Amino acid sequence: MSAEAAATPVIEARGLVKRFGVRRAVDGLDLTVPAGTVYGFLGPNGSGKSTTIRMLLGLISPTSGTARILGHDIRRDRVRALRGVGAQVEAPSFYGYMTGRRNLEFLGALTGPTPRALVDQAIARVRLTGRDGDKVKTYSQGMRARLGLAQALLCRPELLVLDEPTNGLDPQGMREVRELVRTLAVEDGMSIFISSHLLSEVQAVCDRVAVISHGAMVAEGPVAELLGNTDGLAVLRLACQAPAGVDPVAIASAVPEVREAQSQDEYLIVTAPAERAAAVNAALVGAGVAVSELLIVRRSLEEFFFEVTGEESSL
Amino acid sequence: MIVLLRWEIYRLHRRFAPYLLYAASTLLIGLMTWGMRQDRHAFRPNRGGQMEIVGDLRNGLFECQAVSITIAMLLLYLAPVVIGEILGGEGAAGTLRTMLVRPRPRWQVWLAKYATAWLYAASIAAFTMLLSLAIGTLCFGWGKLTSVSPASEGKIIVMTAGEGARYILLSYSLMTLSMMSGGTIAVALGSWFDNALAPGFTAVGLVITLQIICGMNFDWVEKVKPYLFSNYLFDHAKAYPIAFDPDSGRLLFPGAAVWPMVRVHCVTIILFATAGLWRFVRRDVTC
Repeated sequence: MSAEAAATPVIEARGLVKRFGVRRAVDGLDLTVPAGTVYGFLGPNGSGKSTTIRMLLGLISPTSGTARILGHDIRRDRVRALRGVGAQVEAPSFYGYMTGRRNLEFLGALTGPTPRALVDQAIARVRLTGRDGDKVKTYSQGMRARLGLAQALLCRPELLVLDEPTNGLDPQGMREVRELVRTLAVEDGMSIFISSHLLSEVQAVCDRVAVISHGAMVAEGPVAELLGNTDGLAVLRLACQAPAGVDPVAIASAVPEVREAQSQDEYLIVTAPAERAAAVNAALVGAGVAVSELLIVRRSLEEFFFEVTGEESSL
Repeated sequence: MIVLLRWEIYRLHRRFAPYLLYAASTLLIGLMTWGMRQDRHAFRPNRGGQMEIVGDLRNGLFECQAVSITIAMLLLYLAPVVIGEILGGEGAAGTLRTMLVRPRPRWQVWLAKYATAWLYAASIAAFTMLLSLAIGTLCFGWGKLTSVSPASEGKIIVMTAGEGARYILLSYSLMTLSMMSGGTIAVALGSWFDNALAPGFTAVGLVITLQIICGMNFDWVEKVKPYLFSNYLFDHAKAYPIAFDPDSGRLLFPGAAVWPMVRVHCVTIILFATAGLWRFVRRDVTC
């Protein structure tokens, strides 16, 4: 990838608005996806994720605003914009009466000349070898999801847009997709824009995330930054019983690099770098404090998501 | 574009529904042949006592013409149902969005589907024509065509086999045009709505409604009738000569029946095809 190409965002949306009647599905969304990143796109059901993805791919026209894909305006220059894009939008749909391979050959032909080797490679990558000659109507939901990934990979895209790619996959399949996404990003240098409701998946594979709610962006940035882990501090929760005259708070506070220690309910809460957990434990045990439990409490993307969207259970 | 068209044709003929029309055509031709074999006297008409036909009218060309005038009409109602599914069915199945995220201009996708609809209609007409010709020739032999055009007002025109074949080809071509008037409406509706069956059935419903209107005895109906394609839907049966040129003795081309039909069908097709394409290129794919 040239320096210029690397500097150009693969997705750049400015003031994207989509109205369906009086309802604003997307409300002035600004989005910049740098090249070479795995970008997570999160939001509760009905928050405008799919509408945004459809606008980015030229499936629906924005009411106002612009979207540029790989430097090309999606409305004015849709064909050139999509030339370097592989996409899977929502549940993958195929022609059930055709084999998996035939479906890929057809979709490949829509993109341009697709050598047999490229189809073979895509099939192998999603582990469908051996079943590619079967009709799609005989495929399980998971196999269809894999075929959806295969068709997105057909044109060796610069940008891969995946809308809920792990839907219908078993845990093994999910892990394979996670690994595939990382491989595509690291080894093939692909930029990946991934929308998923599985927050742990997103946290595991994405470099940056954007969270939208009611059609508007509520948070955006590198995952570590959003989760407040940039200073390297973690919260340690200890269940301990101190002998008379021994103050666990004072002992923990005296351990080097401990930022703060306090007693909360029956627990001792210590803010310190996670790697200092053993030192805190040793200091307490050394002072005769019986430590029955030590937990490094990390803020998860899920907690962060609920904080910024105000949602509790509607993912 | 050629690649797209090739794939569309491949996909069309990988499905079950399109074969129903071929099957219907085969069955109806079979029944008609059986009927013609059973009652040969029906094909020796005595035209109002003025003329006694000696011999047998029946042959391959005669059966082929009879099929185009009678049972092939049914295809005009059935074709839009299958054709409407070519585009509307894609939206309903969700495959449309998979196609449209590919770097292809939407007009190319639409055009490939529309061209496939034309090829399908033409293939149904060609199949019906060739099958009736083959079965008729096998059962009754080959020979001159005794034309019984509905426009002849009782006149009988006997053509050489070569002339007969040419006019039969014209008649079936016009039948394709009629099929595609309804078919284009179905494609246009399929460009609007994501439904496999609704575009086809709505198009047939519209055709039937317009036919009913054309049959009404009102002044305003008489005024609009010449501009409605439904008024010419079965006029492919009139594409046979009904007179000779008195000077040259050659058959006169039935232009009075053919040209208005061609004009109105072409305008209808262009109108609905433009509307369908316009919509398809601009529409939001939300399915």
